[in-house]
Amino acid sequence: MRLFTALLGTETNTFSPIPAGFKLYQDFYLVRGGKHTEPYGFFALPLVRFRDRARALGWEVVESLATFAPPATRTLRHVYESYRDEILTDLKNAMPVDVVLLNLHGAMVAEDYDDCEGDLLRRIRDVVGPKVPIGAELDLHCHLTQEMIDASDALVIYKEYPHTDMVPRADELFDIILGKLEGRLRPHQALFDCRTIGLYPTPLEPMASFVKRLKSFEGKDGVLSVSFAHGFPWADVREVGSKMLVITDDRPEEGARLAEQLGREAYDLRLKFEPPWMDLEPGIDRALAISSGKEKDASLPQATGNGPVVIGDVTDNAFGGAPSDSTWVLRALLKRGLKSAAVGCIWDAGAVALAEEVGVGGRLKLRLGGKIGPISGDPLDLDVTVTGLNPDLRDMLGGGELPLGRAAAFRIDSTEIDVVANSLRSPTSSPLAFTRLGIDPMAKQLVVVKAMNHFRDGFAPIARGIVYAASPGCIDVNYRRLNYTKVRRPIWPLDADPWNQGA
Amino acid sequence: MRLFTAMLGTETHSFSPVPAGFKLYHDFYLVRGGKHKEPPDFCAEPLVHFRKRAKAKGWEVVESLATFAQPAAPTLTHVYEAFRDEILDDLKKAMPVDAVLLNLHGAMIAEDYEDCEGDLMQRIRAIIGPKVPMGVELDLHCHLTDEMLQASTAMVIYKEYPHVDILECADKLFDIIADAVEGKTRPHQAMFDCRTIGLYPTTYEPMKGFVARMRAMEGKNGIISLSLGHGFPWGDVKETGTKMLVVTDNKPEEGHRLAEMLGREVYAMRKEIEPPWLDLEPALDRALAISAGKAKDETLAIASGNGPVVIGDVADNAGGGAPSDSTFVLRALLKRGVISAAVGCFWDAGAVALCEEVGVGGRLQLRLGGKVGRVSGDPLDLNVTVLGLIDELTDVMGTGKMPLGRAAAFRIDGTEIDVIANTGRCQTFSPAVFEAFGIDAMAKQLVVVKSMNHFRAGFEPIARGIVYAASPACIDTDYRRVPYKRVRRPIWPLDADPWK
Repeated sequence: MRLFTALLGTETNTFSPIPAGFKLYQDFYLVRGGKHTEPYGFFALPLVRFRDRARALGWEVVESLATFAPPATRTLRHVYESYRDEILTDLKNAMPVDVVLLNLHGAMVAEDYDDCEGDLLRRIRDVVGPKVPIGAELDLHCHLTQEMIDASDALVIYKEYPHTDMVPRADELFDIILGKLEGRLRPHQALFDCRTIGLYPTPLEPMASFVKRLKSFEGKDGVLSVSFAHGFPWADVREVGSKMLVITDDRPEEGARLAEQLGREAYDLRLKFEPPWMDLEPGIDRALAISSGKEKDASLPQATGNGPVVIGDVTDNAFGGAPSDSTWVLRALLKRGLKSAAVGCIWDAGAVALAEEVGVGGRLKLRLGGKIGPISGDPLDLDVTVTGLNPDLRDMLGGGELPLGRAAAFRIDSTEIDVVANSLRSPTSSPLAFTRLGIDPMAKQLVVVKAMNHFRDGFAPIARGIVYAASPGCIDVNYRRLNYTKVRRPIWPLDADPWNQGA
Repeated sequence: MRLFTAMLGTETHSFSPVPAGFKLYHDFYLVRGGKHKEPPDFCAEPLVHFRKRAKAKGWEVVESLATFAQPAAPTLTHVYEAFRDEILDDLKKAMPVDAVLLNLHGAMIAEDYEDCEGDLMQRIRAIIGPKVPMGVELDLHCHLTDEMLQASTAMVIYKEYPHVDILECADKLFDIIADAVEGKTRPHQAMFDCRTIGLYPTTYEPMKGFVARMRAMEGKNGIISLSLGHGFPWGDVKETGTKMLVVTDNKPEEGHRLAEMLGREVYAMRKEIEPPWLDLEPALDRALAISAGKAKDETLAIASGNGPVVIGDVADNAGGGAPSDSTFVLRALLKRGVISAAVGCFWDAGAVALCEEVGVGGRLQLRLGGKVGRVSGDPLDLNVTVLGLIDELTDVMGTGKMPLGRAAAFRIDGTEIDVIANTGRCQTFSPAVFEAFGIDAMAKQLVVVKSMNHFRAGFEPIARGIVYAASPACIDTDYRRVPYKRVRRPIWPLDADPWK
């Protein structure tokens, strides 16, 4: 047996000011011929798993391009086409293959291609023909399209956000495709459009229970896999929104029925699934109230009494396509006279270079952040002392590694506010981003991380509370304000009652 | 005969927000053992010339560290000490030597060293003893000190600003030191403190005539060399200011007399020799008036009739320690609705990277400049199209090359304003940087260059007029506003009448 694998992905925020060309992919993750190194990159985890499983069965594995870019605006057309064609050429050279397994994102948009994954899957199908099984693992922030379903045999989507289940999902996909290959299974995919736009962290209730409920259907009554595609709100494409996907062993009607049933449940729960967004100032009020013991974070029942309150600077999340250099939150902390905080990571290669120039212990008048566009806010002028330098800072998420580039830590004069700046735009996912620069987040009153929700995985174990603070940055969490032009209507919350429930 | 050479320099702006550590030197110029390129970069020209002259005489040449940093804040103490001690170690290993020739700047300040050159030269003198001739070439923007004078045998300072005579000075210095080595002369140095702070371009009158007069007096009546240390106004040290230096063949009294006479002449004409600084808005008024034919630039003997008016964005000159990313001038042009200009070079590595990401022809919403500190002004948000990308942009100053790093050119939407951003902070010297991108500076109404005065050498031949525009950026040309703490008083213009 011969397996062909590839990875090509990003999560495109069509409203982002960050351009997406070759360098964005090359600088973040680009490996050819399966040359992944340990600890494995976050996005390489499924590929490595596919390879391990295949080799255990004695299969030959042909590994094509594996590349992923931190979210930005539409990928340049020639860049997408070049990577796509590289994969297709590798595939043609590898033919005949018996099976194809891909790790994709599902929300990659290029200039002139609103559905890169649909395009890539269809072209792969054209090469391998109708009988070779094609499976793809997708991020739950995907725009699931009929084109992707028509071109594939099975799509398995992460169930967890933070994405801590990439490897189990890779196994699930491998099992289904193996069943098809061995003639034991005839996977059928049924899709239901929930007609809603949203973002749903899975550690919070009622979403946590909903994930368990999805799993409870799997493995019986011919149901092979149930995936909830949350969708990615910050893309102006027709297929934006939440979808329910049910894979059955050739039971189209039952699959469609279950997809609709669960999809309508998700629609009904949509308001409760959404994180408790707060505007910036109320967000800080809440963080301080938790910090002083006046309020409790019910989402963290095991919360320790002495950790920091962690503020997600959600609108500046690099993994949603934001610059990760906005200054709103830090400016607000300084204005309130707060003295104890760890803040990271601000994408500011210029600031890192100046810190490297003076070295640890060196002092600088630093203009920090606010350097990409109006959504970055104004730069902050700070007097700082350099407290740490790291030539290759790495963070971890879900057992995989995420690169942060060269990094510098600064202490703002007359405070105990420590700030991390880095050279490679990427979100802050765990306390490692601080501890690897000698900053102890446990000792701080507040920790501010430029991330949407992935940080929960790393920070929930130490946090006294978690607050989602929405400053006026790149990723507007009020979907009604997004400048959609292509989205299929009706859809909530752009339309008040897309199902005509009369509610 | 065995000659020892070295270079260690920068022009320190005491108030610059740009720090000066190892990387600043490494990234700009650092060569060991004489491994200079051919043709050599701007700052290595004297060293290569010393070597050429020495080898022609059959001398052995020991070449130590040669490093120079783009001007910035005071160099970190351990960085200065490391480079200095490397030179001293090399010298000890090379002993005995018969002559030492150094290419220094004269306005290098480290955190704990006000006078790096004086310190270095005294330590070299301590190693070689009193008899070995030591010659030093200096930039005219030096803080000339007694320590430098006592430690050296002869110092020769550039006469021209723009510095187009670096090789000529190197040649002259070599002659002086060779004569001293061979016992033909006994150089004596006399210095006079003019008690004034200023900046003096030498390409127009009356400074041009003063330089000619200095040249004419050399080589007669025992006068070996005449130099004017203009001083560097943005270094806050005791010895900031203008000094006259006369090297005679052992004629101390005549030397002192001449130094005082010429020094007092300089003091007397100090206001006339200062460039015609204009505040930003009046400067734009004047540039547009020249462009429209309503005013003429008298400093240009043969002004081009159809070339651009060139505006020096003097306050943001990287060569004086500024960030080279201030937005004051471009913002003012856009506010006035000027639509034809070439502007360079913004030190903005982030902007360059984004342009590289989209490639030539790519469009961007770009936040440009204003990224280093308050003296950078606020960033500008622009819609641009990328015109060109260059991996290694070089400019030309005199006969030497200047590295500007990776660079991108882009056009601002709705205009014919073309802007260059680059990664290696450096002033803009010549139209070559625009030509490299296919931008025709001749076809623009205005050219704005982040440079104090060196740009004259390259732009005079094409300019219809030259305007020095003083925006509120890093290099304040109103010396009364510079927050000096250490300068020796009295001195003009901090004191109205220092000579009473």
